[in-house]
Amino acid sequence: MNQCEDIKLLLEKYFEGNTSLSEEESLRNYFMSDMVADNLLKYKPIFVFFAESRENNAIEYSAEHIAIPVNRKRVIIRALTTVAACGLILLGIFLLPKGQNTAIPDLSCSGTYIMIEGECFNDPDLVFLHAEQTLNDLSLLFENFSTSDSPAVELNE
Amino acid sequence: MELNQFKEEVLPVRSKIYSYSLRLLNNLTEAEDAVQEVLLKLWQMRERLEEYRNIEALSIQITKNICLNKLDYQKRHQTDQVDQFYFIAETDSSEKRMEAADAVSLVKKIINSLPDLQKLIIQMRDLEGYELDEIAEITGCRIESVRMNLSRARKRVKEIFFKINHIS
Repeated sequence: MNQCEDIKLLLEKYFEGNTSLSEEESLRNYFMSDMVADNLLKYKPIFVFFAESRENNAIEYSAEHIAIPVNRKRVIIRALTTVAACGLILLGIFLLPKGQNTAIPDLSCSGTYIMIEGECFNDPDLVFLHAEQTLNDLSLLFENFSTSDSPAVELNE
Repeated sequence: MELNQFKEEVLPVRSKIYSYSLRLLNNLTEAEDAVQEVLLKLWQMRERLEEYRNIEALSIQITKNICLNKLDYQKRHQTDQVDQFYFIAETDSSEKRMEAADAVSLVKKIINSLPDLQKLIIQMRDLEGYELDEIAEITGCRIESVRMNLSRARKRVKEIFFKINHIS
């Protein structure tokens, strides 16, 4: 039996998954040589690819295989759901009334009133008294200013 | 992670992977293929497995994704092999007779276009030199099941390559 027939038999075994590692090596060696029979040349690229890849140790599939397979459709749906949820939360924040405290009426400041130093005054007499006191303070201040020899800066003390 | 450690830590979840696959795919053969694919993928990432706290959860996650992708693929690609023929033929065989380098490059592309399980098995056997019983050990499958998938992968590469090159 010639070499060509041997290789044909090995090829049959190879495609059935029945060859041993050493038989597969001899197939690769055969197809890497220049002695390939014309009727078997059609198989050459397949075995040359395996031989060259093994020699170069350049298995370029690794990264692809190591990656955990992901269902892309589910990932997209999950991402869209997350974005929509964030949008709703933001919308809720902006549409809610700005603090409920502002809606509570301040009973102490109802009706006609005047605010003096953060306090509400409804009574006109109290307002008058407060104003009078303030004016008196002012007049006293000017009096001191006009009679004093000290520089104006000291008035602040 | 060595084979023994892999067998101790990963293979115990095989039955769960199988039953989960079967539930999702509702087909014994498909479920068995899914198990092989999951375990081979875990084997491919064995160096990083210790980074995961729960290998069972990881396995189930991979199983789920593989099964859902299989179902999705089945729906969309009833005639996938024919589609692949034309896609590869259009991109690579503009001339009647390809140059040797192009032909080798085409083989690589065909292998990359194989279903994941076949791609993994052909890679482990024809590129990395694993024995079939080693692959069977890794996947916990019968050696005949591995041999069948290897045979399918090799025949598919040959058929597509010949078809593109108009070889009978």
